[in-house]
Amino acid sequence: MSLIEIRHLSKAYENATPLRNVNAVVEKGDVISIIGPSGTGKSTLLRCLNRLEEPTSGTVVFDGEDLGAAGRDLTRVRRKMGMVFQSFNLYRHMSVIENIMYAPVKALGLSREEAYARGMRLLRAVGLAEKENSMPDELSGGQKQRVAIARTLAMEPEVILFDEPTSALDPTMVGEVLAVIKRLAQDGMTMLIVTHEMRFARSVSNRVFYLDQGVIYEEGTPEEIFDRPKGELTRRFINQLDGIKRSFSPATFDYLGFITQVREFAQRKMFAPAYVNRIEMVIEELYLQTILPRLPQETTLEFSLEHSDKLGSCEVTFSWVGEPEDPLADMDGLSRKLAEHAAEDIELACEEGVTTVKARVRE
Amino acid sequence: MRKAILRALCALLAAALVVCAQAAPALAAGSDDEALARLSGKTAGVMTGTPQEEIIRNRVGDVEVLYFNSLTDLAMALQADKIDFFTLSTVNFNFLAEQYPDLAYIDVALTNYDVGAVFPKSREGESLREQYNEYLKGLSDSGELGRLQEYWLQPRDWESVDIPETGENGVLHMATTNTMKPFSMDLNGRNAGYDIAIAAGFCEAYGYGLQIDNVDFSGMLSGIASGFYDFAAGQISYTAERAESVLFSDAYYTQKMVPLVRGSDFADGEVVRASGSGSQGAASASGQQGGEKAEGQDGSLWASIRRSLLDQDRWKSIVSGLGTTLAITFAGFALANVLGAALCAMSLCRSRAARAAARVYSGLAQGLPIVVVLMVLYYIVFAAAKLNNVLVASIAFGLVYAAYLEQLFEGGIRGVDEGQWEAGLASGLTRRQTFLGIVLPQAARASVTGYFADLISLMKGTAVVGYIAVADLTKAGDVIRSTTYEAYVPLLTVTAVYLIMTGLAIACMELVKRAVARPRRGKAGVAA
Repeated sequence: MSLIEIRHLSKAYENATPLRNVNAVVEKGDVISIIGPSGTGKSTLLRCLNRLEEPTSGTVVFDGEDLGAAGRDLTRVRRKMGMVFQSFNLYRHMSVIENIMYAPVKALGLSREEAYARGMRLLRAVGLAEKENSMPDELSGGQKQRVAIARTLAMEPEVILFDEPTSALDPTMVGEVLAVIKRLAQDGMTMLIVTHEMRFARSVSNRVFYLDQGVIYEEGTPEEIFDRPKGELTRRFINQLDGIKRSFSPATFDYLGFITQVREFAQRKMFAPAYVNRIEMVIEELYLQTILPRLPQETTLEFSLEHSDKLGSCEVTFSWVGEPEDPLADMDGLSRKLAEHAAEDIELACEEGVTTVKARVRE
Repeated sequence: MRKAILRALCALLAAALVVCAQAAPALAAGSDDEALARLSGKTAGVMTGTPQEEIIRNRVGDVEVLYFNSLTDLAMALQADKIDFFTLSTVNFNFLAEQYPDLAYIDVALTNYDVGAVFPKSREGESLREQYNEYLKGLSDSGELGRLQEYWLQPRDWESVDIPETGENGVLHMATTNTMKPFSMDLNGRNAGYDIAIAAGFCEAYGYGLQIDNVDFSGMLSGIASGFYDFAAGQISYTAERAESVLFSDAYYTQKMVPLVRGSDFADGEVVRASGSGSQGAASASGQQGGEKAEGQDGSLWASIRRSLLDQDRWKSIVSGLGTTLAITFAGFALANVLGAALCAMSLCRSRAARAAARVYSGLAQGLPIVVVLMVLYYIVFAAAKLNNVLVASIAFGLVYAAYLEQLFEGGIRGVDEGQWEAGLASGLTRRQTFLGIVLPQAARASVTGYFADLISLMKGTAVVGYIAVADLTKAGDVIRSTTYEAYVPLLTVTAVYLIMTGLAIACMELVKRAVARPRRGKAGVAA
């Protein structure tokens, strides 16, 4: 039996629908990274699991118990399903050790001695034993999050939900928190981790959910998701693609307006001037000088410029409906030279009557 | 422009009133008017709730008017040059001048007032008034009234008045203002004076017990108009306006109202000075203006303290006033806490009706002056129940401050970050455990300062309970001031006591703050 089954889970607000029909299964020992653009319901999904938010429809079955069923004991479920928050949420009026001891004493009925012993063992495990009597406000962000993890572990949960555990941290403190989570993974703890740390997600998890548009758009092993994303949205997200698209016909082509749009995009992405020059040169020599004059006036051209932060390069693409005799074949010698100098790679493809010219430009 | 019209209207009104006043005792013209003309354009002091302003405007003409609540305040204001004159009965003058030797009066009757007792306009009031008039007639016929006047209306060491506590015809509930020496005053902590002696004699003769409440002058009249008291007496002058809302007994004294001035501003022939202070007195008075006179007639601060606090054990009334103030403060605050917590629960709950009800209540409680709430509760809501006035005051303050505490509590709870709730709930604590163990302690900690501010504000606010005849700290000071005409020592004593109480409350706040700031240590209760 699976530890958690998510069935047709939907959550709708008045003016947003972060989740529509999410289905997934979590097995014991799974470490699942949940990635995706912001605002796609990753946190909402976690919060619907432990019922900090009531889903609009659908249900979650945890350990064989339907959490949507009437009369279910939520507090008992939550004791087995820990949560670590982006903003730590340490109890501000309690010392570190009291933070950890509170729920075990109140909810599990441990004696203070047992809770203290357990708390100290966990504090040592996260490397903060000497902070037992500090107040939360005296700790750094990374320390706070490690205490929060220890506090969650003190309940000995069967699964831990991490809601962007490093998003509120200074970059210098991200490592210490991720190290703790990584060790939990090695110890076999079942975890669902919403994160923006792609390298971490890849190294720690055995499964990755790519969430987009309110659904689990793609699911797979880290290798499948990060190296061979199938879906278009996944690919764009993983490669951190960003770009502009435009369509026009040679008859009405407004070169100045078009190049302005390219420059605005380059400015927004803060491209280096040399990189922008190369892109412009490819556009000018390849398309303006070579392709455009050879096309019938009424042709509809699709243009796209897509840059990937991850790869550090961009693809300039023109495509149109029509079978060409190779437009690059009788390219002007100077133009060809300039274009080939600016672009790393130029390729021509023709599929189902659509001709595509792609040029890759390095940053 | 508008001012001019207003002034013209006032003049017209004044003229009309002068015509109407023809029926009043004819007053000498000529030289009197000349003497009064000196006061024109000056600043007059008027006791709130009395018709003196109208009379001053009629007789003196254009003056600026400032309002005061007691005779002592008027005397102090005159002495401090805040006002140039005020009107007073010649009877009161003799007493006031004991303490303020520079006082003198221009011997022109601005008006003459008949003094009498007042009764509610009801069948019971009517029949009681008949009995009273019958009794007064007997006193007058036997010459006893004259003897009472002779005894009470001159400075002397009075004997206390015997007040019957019970009688075969029941107990009468009387209102008086014990700051009207010698008509109604505090003598060794008991009510005494000319009016009181007559009232007590009446009750003795007609088989009534007498229970006396000391209220403000304006409270006295409204207490009668609303039928709350059976009758009231204490140098109450007959005016046509008052007679519209209450019944007056026959007059048992006619007082002459004269303008009181600083003697040093006038030549000997122009004013009447206090007996015993001749031209020499005037000379010395002109030499010592202002503060020095605070020390009283025999000149030493010690004497002033003796008169204000030690004579007749007057300090005891301060102590008992303090006790009353504390009782109202703590009882009121306790009620405010309970009610405030309930209102807070309503404001935070899911029911829209409960939230609306809490909001309406808070709006009402915070929108009304506490004095108004006090009077409404005392004279209207609890009038029939005849609740103890200290209890009514506590309830009034509890009801009003509940709204302030509700706001404080709600703000404190809402001020705790939502994440604290979520962390508690997500770790498997119940809502109750999360609220009591995590949210509430943080809310409380954030509210300590506001909580004590409300407590202190309530404590200071109780100074107005004199309106419903409660003898609290402020009232105790007022009574001493009006009996001794000592201006400063009673006031400063009361001030000091309030300051000490506030200081103690602030010290308490600091202690509590330090206590809650101390982190809860893990090893507490754990064998190390």
